[in-house]
Order: sequence, then C-alpha cells, then structure tokens
Amino acid sequence: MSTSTSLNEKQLLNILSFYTNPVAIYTSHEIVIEMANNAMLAAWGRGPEIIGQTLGAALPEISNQPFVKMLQQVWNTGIDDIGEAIIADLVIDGILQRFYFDYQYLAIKNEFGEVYAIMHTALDVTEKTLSREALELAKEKEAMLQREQSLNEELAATNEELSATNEELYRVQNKLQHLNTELEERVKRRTESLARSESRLRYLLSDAPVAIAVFYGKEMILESANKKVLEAWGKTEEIIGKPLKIGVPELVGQDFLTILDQVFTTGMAYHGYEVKALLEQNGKIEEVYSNFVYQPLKDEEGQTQSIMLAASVVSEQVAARHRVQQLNEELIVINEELSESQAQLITLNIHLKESESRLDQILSELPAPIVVLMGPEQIISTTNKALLEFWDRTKEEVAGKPMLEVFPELVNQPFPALWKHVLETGERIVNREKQVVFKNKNNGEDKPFFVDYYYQPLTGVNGERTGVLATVIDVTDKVNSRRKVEEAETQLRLAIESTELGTWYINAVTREFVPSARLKEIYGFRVFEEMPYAAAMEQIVEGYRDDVKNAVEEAISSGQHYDMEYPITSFHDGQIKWVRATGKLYIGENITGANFTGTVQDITERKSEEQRKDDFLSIASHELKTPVTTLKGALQLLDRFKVNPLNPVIPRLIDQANVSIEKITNLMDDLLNTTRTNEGQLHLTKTRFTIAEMLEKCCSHVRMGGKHDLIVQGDENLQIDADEARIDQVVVNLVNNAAKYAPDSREIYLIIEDLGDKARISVKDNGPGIPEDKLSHLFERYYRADYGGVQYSGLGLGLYISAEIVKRHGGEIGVDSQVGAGSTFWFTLPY
Amino acid sequence: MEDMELVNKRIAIFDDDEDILSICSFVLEDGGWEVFTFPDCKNIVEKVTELNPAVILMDNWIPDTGGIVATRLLKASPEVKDIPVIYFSANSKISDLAAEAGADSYLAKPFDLKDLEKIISENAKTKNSKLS
Repeated sequence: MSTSTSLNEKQLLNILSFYTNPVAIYTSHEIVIEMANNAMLAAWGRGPEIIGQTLGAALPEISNQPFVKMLQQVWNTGIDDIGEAIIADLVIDGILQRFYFDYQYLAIKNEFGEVYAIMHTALDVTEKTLSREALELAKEKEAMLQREQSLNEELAATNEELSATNEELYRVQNKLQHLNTELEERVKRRTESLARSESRLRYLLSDAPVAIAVFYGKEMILESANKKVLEAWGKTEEIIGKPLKIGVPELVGQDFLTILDQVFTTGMAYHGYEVKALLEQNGKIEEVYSNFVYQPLKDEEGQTQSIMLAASVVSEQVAARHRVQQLNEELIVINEELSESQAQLITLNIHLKESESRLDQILSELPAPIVVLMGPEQIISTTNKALLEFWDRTKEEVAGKPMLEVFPELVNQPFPALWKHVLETGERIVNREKQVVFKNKNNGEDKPFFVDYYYQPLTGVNGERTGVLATVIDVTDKVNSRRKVEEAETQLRLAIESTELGTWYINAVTREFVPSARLKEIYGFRVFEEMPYAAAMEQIVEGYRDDVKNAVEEAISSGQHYDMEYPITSFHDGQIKWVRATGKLYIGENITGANFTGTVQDITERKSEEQRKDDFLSIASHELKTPVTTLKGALQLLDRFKVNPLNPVIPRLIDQANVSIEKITNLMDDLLNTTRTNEGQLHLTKTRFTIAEMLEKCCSHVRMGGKHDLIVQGDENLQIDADEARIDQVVVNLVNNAAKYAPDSREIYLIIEDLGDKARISVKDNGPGIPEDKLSHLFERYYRADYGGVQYSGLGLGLYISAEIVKRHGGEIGVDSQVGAGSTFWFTLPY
Repeated sequence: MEDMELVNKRIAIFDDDEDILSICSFVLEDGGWEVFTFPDCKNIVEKVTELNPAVILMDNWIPDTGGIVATRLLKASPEVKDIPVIYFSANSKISDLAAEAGADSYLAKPFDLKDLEKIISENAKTKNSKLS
C-alpha cells in the first residue's frame, strides 16, 4: 500500500533482516524485541518465535548479565551505548557458551527527542578475542622468557668467560630478538586489550553496589570512581583526574589521606570497619560510616602504582545501632533510677509506718474529735475515741471504710463537697455552728447536731495532698442554750419595740451609757451614730436639762425610781419632741454590775394631743366666759333696778341677757358637735370619697330650716382621701357661719374646684360681707396662738375647730369677702 | 380721801366684743364715767395721749396686736406710762398675762359689776393722786 517512493516500516525491517551482522530492534522500557534478523537470532541461538517477547524472557540465561539493564539505561537516558568485546553467555544448541561481541545500542528518537526504539547491532568477536587470550598466554610465557633473559643477561654479564658458548648464545639472542619483536607487538596488542577490558571493568564497577575508586600514584590522583563512591563523597564525575585531597577536600585533616599514604608506601592493604568520615552530603557536612578496604594495586615489579578503594556505606546501620545503644543506655539509667527510688520508697514506707503509728497514737489520745479521710473516696483511715463517741460508732465499724458508706445520710449534706474541696485545693475550711444531721444507728431517726469544724489538707512526703484532717466539735448544747437566750431576747426586744420604747442603761460604775437603736431614733440620731450620755443630755431642752440630770443622779445614788416628762431637741432636724423617761437602779448578782436602766417614750403626740385638748378647753372656756360676762353684767344690773321695775333700761338688759344666752347655746352646740365626733381628739380616719356626694348630704338642718337653699356647684366627680365625718363638720360650721352672719342670703353655694394637686371647697353667701380690717384677723388668731396665751375667737368655736381639722389634713383655710358682696369661706385638701 | 372728787372721770376700754362694751358702758356711765371704747388698738399711744383717761381697760385679745403688745407700748411711752392699765380677759391665766404685759392690775371675765367699779375706782384714785 505504499503510495510514495519511500519505504514503509515493514520494508525497512525486511531490509535489515538481510544484513549479515546481527541486528535487533527493541521498544519500551521492558525491552520488547520488535525485530531480530536471522544473524541476531543465530547469535542468540533462538528462532523467530521470540519476536514480540521481552529480551529477558526470550533469553533467560542473560538474566544475571547486564544487557537488559544496559538497554534500559539507553531507553531511559537516550544515550547510545557502544562497546567492544562484551562477554555474553548464551545458550546455543542447548549449551551455555561464552561469546564476545562488539556492540552498539543506538537510541532511535522521534522529532521530540523521545526514544521510541533501540537498534542493537553486534559483531561477534569471540574468535578474535579468544586469540587475544591465547596471546596473553604467550605473554605469560614471554614474561617467563623475560625473566630467563634477565637471568641470561645476568649470566652473560657475569660469565664473559663463557664466550665458548657465545655462539649458541648469539643464536639464542637472535631468537630472543625475534621473540622480542613479537613480544613488543604482543604488548602493544595487550595494552589495547587491557584498555578495552579496563573500560569494561570501569563500566561494571560504575554500577556496582559498593563504592569503588582507584587512586593513582603518591598524589592519589583519582583515576576512577563509581557512582556509589561519588554519591558517598557527595561529588560528581568532575573530580575524576584530580588528586583526592583536592577532589574531596573534606578529607583533609581526617585520617584517610595518611592511611592511603601508608598503604601506598607499605603496599599493605588497610581494612576499615565502620569508620566515620565527615563528608559533604546535600550541601552540608554529615557523618558517613563505611566498611572499606584500601587495596594496593601493584605493577609487575610489586611496586604500588595505585590504590583501590572498595567501601560499603553503613551509616544507617551504624546510626540505627547507635540509637539502639543509646536507648539501651537510657534504659539502664532509668533502671538504676528506678531501683534507687524503690529503695527510697522502702525507706520512706518504713518512716511512714512509724510516723503513722505515732500519729495514730497522738490522735487517739486527743480530746478533740478528729478523723482523717484519705483520698477522693474519703476513707476513714484514722479517728479517735472522742469522735467515735460523737458518732456513736466503734472503731471497727468505721475504720478503712468510705465516710459515706458509714454515714450515707451525709450524701446530701454539704460536707462531702467540702472535703473534696480541701483535698483538691489544699484550702482550709473553718465553720462554726453548722447543722449536721446523723441518723440514729438503732432507730434510723434523724438527729440534728451543731458542730464547729475545721478541715485541713494532709500532705504526703512529696507535698501531694493525700487526705483531709477533720476536727469536729459538737456544740449542740451550747447552740441550743444560746438560741433559747436569743429567742427570749428577741421576744423581749419585739415586746419593747412594739411599745416603741427606747431603752438604755448606764453601768453604775463605769458610767458607760448604752442606748438602744430606738432611743437614738427618738433623740434624732441615726441608728449607726454614737450617742454618748453627754450628747443625749445636750438634746434636752434648756430649763429641763438640769432637772433631768439631777433626777438621774439622785436615782443612781439612792436607788429610787424616777419618772419624768421633758422636751428634747431632735438631734438632726431640731424639732421639739416630748419624752417620758423612767429609770431604776438594778443591783445585779455582782455588786459592781449594778446597772441603771431606763426607758424613754416619745410622747410628743400625746403631749400635742394634750395641748390641743388644753387649747380647746381654754378656747371653749374663753368663748363661754365672754357671753357669760355680758349675761352676768345684765343680770346684776337688772338686780340693781328691781326696786324700780319701770326703769326703761330693764327691757334692754333683758334683751342683752337673751343675746348672751343665745351665744352660749350656740357654743354649747359646737362643743357637743365636737365631742360627738371624736371626744375632742383629732385622729383622722381617711377614706376616699366623692366631694359632691358628701356636700349633697350635709347640712340637712339648714335645708330643713327652709331659710336657705344649698347649691352644690363645680367638679362633681372630684375625689379626695380625707376623714369624711371631719370634713362634713367643717362644711357644717362654715354653712352655720354663713346662715348666722348672712341670714338674708337665700342661696348658699357649695363650690368644688380641682386645683391640680388639691381640692378647694368654698361656702359662698350673698350676705353683707366682712370689713377688710376684721377679715385679716379672722383666722390669724388661731395660727398665732401660742400655747401660752390662747386668744379670744370672735367667730366662735366652730371656726377654730374647722381650722384645726383642715390643718390636720395638710390643707389651708381662709376667707374672701368684700362689704356688700358677700363672703366666701374656703378650705383646701390635698388629694 | 374716799370722798375726794375725781378730777378726771374719763375711761378708755379696748375690747372687740360689742356686748361687753355695751354692758360696761352702761354701768360706768351710770357711775358718772365718761366712757371711750375702741374695737382695736391702732395708734394706741396717740389715742391714749390725746384722751388722757384716768384708767384703761385692756382686753387680752384686741386687734391688731393683742393686749400684751398694746400695754407694753403704753408703758414704754413717757406721756401715758402712768395711766393705770387694768387687764381683763376670760383667759384662765390672766394673772400671768397681766404680769407679762406690765399691766397695773387685772380683772377676770366674767366679773361682778361691783368688782369692776371697785378696781376702776381704786386705779383712778392712784392715777389722780399721782397727778396731784
């Protein structure tokens, strides 16, 4: 199917098959025989059936010969391998025979430089080679001849007299000359042959697994070096031809150069075993260990010409062995340490046992209850009689057992966690009067105790914490009795507090004054402030102070009781308060413990109530006395005129008397009204109510009277918190007032106003009004009234009472009026 | 001395209760007194100086200052300080109040007409004897 003039592949191969010298073509790394001509097949002693097989498979006898490897190298590297007289042992006609071939392994490459086939041409030089070997045999003979010749020469030199034999010798000489010529030729050939075998040798050596190098001459010029040795030296082929000390400068200063020198000089081989060399490896100096021999290579005269180095690198083995050795050494050291510490431990154990038994003894004799809880299991390792008694257990019942196994009731109590904490942290824990509940061993009932406990860590010889030493003191009785006392004290204090009594005592000997918190409060001190006796005295109002001091002194010295009322100035706010103080000297069991104790009661409220009552009575009596004065005067005048009943003054006096009686009657109504409401007291009972509803209901007496109409106006929904009965009383007073002083005013208005934060209630009439000069004094007198001089009320008791009620609600009372324009009495009440 | 005619029969009464003023005026006028009543004590020193009464009746509560202040004002005035002031009041502590005010004497309300006449008469004599 050839379409061109070029030959196709098959044709080419076919042509090659006619070539008389052996030719084969291989492909792939496995060296597959693509083609082998008849000559090659004949050389191999195989038939064409091997085409397509790998060379190794086709020729099993070459498996331990280098060819496949060489071919693979050509395939891999693309470098031709050409050589002469290579030995090949091939099975021909069933017999393994030795052949010599000149060969060419040519890498055939494509346009990309990739090898796609190897062409193998070979020339059987077996006969030629064998004849060379024959030559060598002859050469050996020749050498013998040479030795003979030298002997002969010696003989000739020394036996000149043997000239008789000269002729013969001459012949011999001739013959020798002939032989010499032949010899020279042979030497020449031999040299060539040697060169060839040397190259072979070099080739073989180059792949040898041992490091091989040859140094030539005294200078140790590196004649050859295989890959292995270059690898070991960390060098490339470039160093070949250089003296060793230059090619491998790292060796300078190491022993090798000296040894080589010795080997060279003495001609004695030197064997090294696991010798360390410092060589450059991958750019840094490393230790390389090797077994090696420096083998002197001598010439025929026994002179060392060169030295062969054969070495195998054993660095890894040495390093591994070193590691093993090192490990062994470490193990030995550890072993020694272990046995040493074991010995120590034994000693310590003995000490520990001793001190343990001593500790046991000490603990068991201690009166304080003690237990040692070992490890996280809290095992009761040591305890003593005192604690066993508290526990109600025998030593056998508890020793060696975990605490919580003996006392499972403790599981849910805080103690196990505390022991754990002490063991883990080494902190000490001290607590007092904590409750612990144990179960009664016999009936299983819970039994509470109070204990003081002290937990501290126990440390072993090396400072590690091993357990907890717990000291547990039963303080149940103490706590119970103290609690009783405290309870009683609390009850007493509560009782005193409920009476709001301040209490105090003075140590009669030391004069130390101890006031209660309530007493400080009464005196206007803060509870946390100091209030010494002098400071308390200082608060007593001048004029009373000395009396109080004297009374206290008198009571202390005489043992008399005292009971006084006096005013004090409250310390912080400066307000005047009234107190009632009582005191008595109590002689304690110990005479020096005599205490003066007293109570102080805040009676300001009572005092002001009393004052109000006094004021009220004072005003009431004053108000009554005024009309009585008039009445009395009228009656006495009437008495004077009784002898003359026609005296025209008499009717006037009777009128006067009636007006006075009317005034007295009104006052009595007011008084009764007041008394009915709250017996003159002014305690307020506040409720929330709607003002309009209250106003609609009030003053029914005025409405019923028919003289006046009461009209409620303003905010109908406004509500206030106030004492409704009292406010009703105020309104009644004001309406009565209006009815009295404005009898002709038909309408009386009750007006409700919301002032935002307070309500204003007004009672408005259309009466004659009040003159301005009187207006300003209507209420003034009440507010000005100091308790020393209660003033006269022109407008009756009702207004005074109304003003008091409004004041007590925190409101104001007042009047607006103009003559001829009626009057408006008003009061305000905060919501 | 008892029969001695009084030169000055003027009396000033400071009280704001009309009924009392009425009764007192009736009684004292009947006894030959020239009675001047005042419902307050505005400009009291000027009024008294001008009037120059033989005796003054002073209620404890009298607008604007009250009887105590009013009496003290009178007693502080060189012109009128010698005119006797009779404090009269329904207050139960009248003696204290009178002393506090610096009044010459006092009369508690309610009073007997006789006592009124007597105390006025005595004080008027004192005043007149001082004058003479």
